[in-house]
Amino acid sequence: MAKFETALEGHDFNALAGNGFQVSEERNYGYVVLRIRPNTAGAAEALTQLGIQLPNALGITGALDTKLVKWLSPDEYLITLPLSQKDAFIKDAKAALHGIFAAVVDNSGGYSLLKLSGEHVYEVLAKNCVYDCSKFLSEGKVISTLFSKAAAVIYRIDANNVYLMVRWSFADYVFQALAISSREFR
Amino acid sequence: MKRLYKQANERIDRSKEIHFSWQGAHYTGYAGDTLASALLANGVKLVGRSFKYGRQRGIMAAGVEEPNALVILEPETGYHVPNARATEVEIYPDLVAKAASGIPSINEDLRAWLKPFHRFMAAGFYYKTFMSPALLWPKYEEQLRKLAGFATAPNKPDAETYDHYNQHTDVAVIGGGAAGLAAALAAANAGSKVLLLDERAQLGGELVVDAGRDPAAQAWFNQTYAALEAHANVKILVRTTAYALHDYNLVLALERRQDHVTIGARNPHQSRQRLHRIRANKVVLATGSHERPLMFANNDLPGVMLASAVSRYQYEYSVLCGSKPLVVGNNDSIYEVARDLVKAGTRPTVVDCRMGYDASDLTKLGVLVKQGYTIVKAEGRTSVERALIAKTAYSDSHGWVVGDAPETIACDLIACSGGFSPLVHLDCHTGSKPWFSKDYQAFMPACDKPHRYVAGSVNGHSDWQGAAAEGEYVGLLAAGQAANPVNAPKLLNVADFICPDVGRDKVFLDMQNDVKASDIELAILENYRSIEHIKRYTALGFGTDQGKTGNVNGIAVAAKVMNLPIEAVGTTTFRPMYTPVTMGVLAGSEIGLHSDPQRFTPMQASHRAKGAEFEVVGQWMRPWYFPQGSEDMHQAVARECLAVRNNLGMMDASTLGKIDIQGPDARELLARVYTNAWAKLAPGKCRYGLMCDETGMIIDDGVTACISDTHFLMTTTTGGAARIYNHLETWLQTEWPDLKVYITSVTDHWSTTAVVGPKARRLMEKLCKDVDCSAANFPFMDWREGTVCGVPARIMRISFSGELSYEINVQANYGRFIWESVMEAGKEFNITPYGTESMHVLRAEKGYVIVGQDTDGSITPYDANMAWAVSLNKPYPFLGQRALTRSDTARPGRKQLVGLLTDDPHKVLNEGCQLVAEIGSKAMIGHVTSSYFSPVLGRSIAMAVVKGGLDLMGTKIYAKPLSYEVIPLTIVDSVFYDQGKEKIDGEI
Amino acid sequence: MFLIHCPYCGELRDEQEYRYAGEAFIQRPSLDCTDEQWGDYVFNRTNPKGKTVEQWAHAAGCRKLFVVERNNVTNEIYAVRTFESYKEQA
Repeated sequence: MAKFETALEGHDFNALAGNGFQVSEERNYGYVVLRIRPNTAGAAEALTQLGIQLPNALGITGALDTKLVKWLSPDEYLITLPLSQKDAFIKDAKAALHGIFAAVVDNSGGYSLLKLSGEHVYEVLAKNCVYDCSKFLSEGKVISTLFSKAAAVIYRIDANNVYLMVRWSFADYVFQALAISSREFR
Repeated sequence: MKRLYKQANERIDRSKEIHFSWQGAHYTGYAGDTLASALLANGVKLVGRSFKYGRQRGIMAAGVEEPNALVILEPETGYHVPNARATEVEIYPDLVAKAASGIPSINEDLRAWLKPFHRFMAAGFYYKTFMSPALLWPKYEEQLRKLAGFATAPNKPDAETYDHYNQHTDVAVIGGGAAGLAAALAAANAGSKVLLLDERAQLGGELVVDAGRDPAAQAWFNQTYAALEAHANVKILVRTTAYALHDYNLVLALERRQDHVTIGARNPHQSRQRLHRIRANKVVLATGSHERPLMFANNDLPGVMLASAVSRYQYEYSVLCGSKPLVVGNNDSIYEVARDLVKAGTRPTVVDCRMGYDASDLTKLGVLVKQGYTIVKAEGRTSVERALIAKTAYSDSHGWVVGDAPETIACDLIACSGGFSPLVHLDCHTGSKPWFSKDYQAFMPACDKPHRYVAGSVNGHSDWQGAAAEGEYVGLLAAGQAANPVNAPKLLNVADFICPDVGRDKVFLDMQNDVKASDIELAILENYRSIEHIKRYTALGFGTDQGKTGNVNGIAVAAKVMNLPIEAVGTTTFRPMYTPVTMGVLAGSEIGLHSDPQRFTPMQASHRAKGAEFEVVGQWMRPWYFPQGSEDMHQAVARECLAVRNNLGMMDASTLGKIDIQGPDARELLARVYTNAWAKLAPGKCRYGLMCDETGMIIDDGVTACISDTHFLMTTTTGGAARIYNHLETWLQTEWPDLKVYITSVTDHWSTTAVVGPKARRLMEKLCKDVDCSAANFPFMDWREGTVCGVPARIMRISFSGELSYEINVQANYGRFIWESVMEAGKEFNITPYGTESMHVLRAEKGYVIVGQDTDGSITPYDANMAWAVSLNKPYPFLGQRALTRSDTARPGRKQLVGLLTDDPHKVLNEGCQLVAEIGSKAMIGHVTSSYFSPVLGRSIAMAVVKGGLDLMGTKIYAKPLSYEVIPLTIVDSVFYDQGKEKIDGEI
Repeated sequence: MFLIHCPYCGELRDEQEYRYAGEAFIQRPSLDCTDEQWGDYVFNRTNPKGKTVEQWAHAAGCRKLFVVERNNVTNEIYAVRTFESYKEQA
């Protein structure tokens, strides 16, 4: 049986948890990049067929248990969805968008998705991000920025958690940064 | 003891005695003391020796401007702090401190013995004296270095940690004195989020002195402070120095979080210091001002202090700095200090260069007030014993003229004031120039940048009420509210600078760097005119205090000598940092292995378990080689290379950049960015591509697979991935926005296990049942979609070694599983994992270039002997095509890539080694780019770029390494192994 | 350190997120230009003191390039514009 691993397989997340700060890694999502300009001919129909509503700048539509669509740029959206639905979705999307100027790219192995929570979460973010997350990262908003020196996508879809998405190869570095910057809360 | 009875608002806690060590002896102070106040309270006058002359120095100030009292904290430990200012150090139990100067000690300084020669050691002394012969300079330098500088550097690793913190606020208020407090409260009450910073442990600034004189000041402080503390909009950071103000109101501030805590009691989970990176919509500079000392002979003698500092020690720490004080100055503030000293039970003498101030209240109390006099010299053996004063006369044409019949006044303290210098530093960091106020005799902040305000004594206010009123006003403005303008500052009545007649007397300007008034005169005599040059020639303001007390006096002296108005001389440039900042806090947590991201492939855990040695490529940690037993690198590499050539190897190729290219114009994009042709590459096929920039030089290479007519997967070099992605995006977005193509980085999505060697097919047949891996049906440079060990995979038959090779690409989540499955299945073939070093050897044996090693940004495809990869007939000329026919790019004699074989097959050249045409020649004709010992050939091989090298096949040339050897060698074709490409299909 | 308003993200972001991407509106000569013209295109830049028109990329953000009109003495940013907006203007 093929062994499935995440970027932070085996990392001790309990060692980071403490007084008002917790981190966990999400295991069961697939990540699909959709490149399309909203005004592309035929796009609207195809996207409706796929059940996708494109969000506006820095916006999010949908939900994690179906398809969470995040705006990354005027022609780039990141779709997070249950891993079990990923292959079927890619197939459907390619079929629906056939002949339309768009790209569907499986990037499921490309990321580590971390869930941060606790009362000190914005202090940990402030030590690593120049972006004022506590003020501007409202629910339903996604930003691309730097986390320490790694490119990151950060978003909020509920009141309690901040999602931090980094490239697979940077995940260990980000884990270390989280460990260092949350030390005083343990 | 010089400690007074309890002063009304003192900030020491007499219930908490603190024991500390200074110069090896034990002392006692109170909680709330600085090291300076505690030493003064203990009667310690001598705290240091001067930089150049080894003169005795005492504490002069009560804040960051202190030039003399540099100390080492916790010497020889992991907590060693060099050159701390005693005036800033909060004492804590068991603090160990010692003077940062003194050779060998502050009581006996060698440099002082050189006194007879001091008059020859004026500005420029070192340049002039040790100029020739030039060859001896290193010898001189070695000796001079021993005499120079202050504290010793730490000799142990720093035991503490540091961090960075990004702050965002509506209004940042810098300085917690009357103006800053009022500004913060006004802005907060108006609804703004406010960050208030102050460098001291407690807010209040100079209010602590005002409070000693006027209970209303203390009441106002208590009320304002309580309101700020309780205010939801206000965040207060004490012990925090705003040391730089950059564009767009970026304030950098250093917070000392644990410096005031006993070593053993510091929290190891917290940083010692924190760098706050503050973005503020508005900045209020309430930075205050520093007093200037007077210029007179021996003005560096211990016991000469700034007048305001004397009051500060009295009210904040209840320390009396002298029992027989002389207060002298050119402005009204000295009378307030005299009244303070009367209250402390002394009978000071007051000397004022001006006439006319009504000091009857003091004279009634028996205080001697000498108006129309100034000090000309301080005398005393180890500290002040008496002062010489002389009559003054002022004229508009000549300024102050001081008489030459001095009178003597006995005293043990000279509290002097030459006026005040507003702290314009931060305002100037973004390029503003201060302006000179004749009325206030000071350089004032221009405050001409948007979203910035100044308030308080930095703007000339001499009274706390005026400062507070202005603070409130700018606080409202900063919060975007209308406010009624406040009165113009109540300026202190200050007379012009009293510049000494420069003779042989030692009148110090910059105490820390031993710069005297006569040095300024000498610099001007030697024709230096710009104050920036005078500064550099004399070292005025070059110390760790950056001339806070000395610079403006130096400018005044320069103006007098050049007979120019002060404003015509101007100031030197104020640059960050305002006060010294530790290297630790600048680095923050980005130290050691965390100083730069380390990127790992999904196979990392396996590599580590296998005992791989790692090499950093870009930011990636790649296995370098996999040593077995006691093998060194050469033994391991030889074993790995032979395994690949004769049997089977495997390599982690996951780090290569991968870019997904989709759209109707995908093929066109490839044709434009690569030098070769792409029109006919069919789905299922791969092609090697060579990429140039517009200068025609090679910038990258890699294999691109055609997935479909509108879908390609490009690979880039490991180190070039981000750069090439940006390169493509830039061209697509700027020059070719009409091309219908999307590019997406999928570097991290795919993990790649390369199976390499004659037996590779046999292994593949074991692991992959749905792809026909036969040479006929899966030829070189094809790719197939299939399943490996049950995991969907893209398998590419590409090779960087010349051997049969399959690169298995799977989603990263299965990367380690596939790697370990290959390892397990390969046991029967004795499969050998290999690293980047063997990869380099194997590719060099085949003459494959590595972009960035064999090319260096000056190599065209023709130079690299890769004309076969250049297609000049494409509809849209590829990037760099035009450059290939430029006269310089097309000229003969360019350096071209060739192979080299040394006459001695065991001689391995150094990479970078220079090449010459004849033994005796010094004219370089090229250099070695790659060099290895080839295990399969049993001899050394090298690649090199040589002028006109492609026409010199078989020519004997020579390598000249740094060792002065001359190594004979022959230019050959760069393909050393398997020229017939017979191995590419492996075992049939 | 500047703050630059990204015209695509619609927010003021820190300079750290951006990458300077050279002078804007450099004309690429055709293949039949002289060596001097090509050399000028490849190697020479105007390098003015004062107002500059330059390309920036929101490298850690939306990855789009756009034009920043900036004073390189005072660092004042006069305008941030998309390439399309110049086209529409022309």
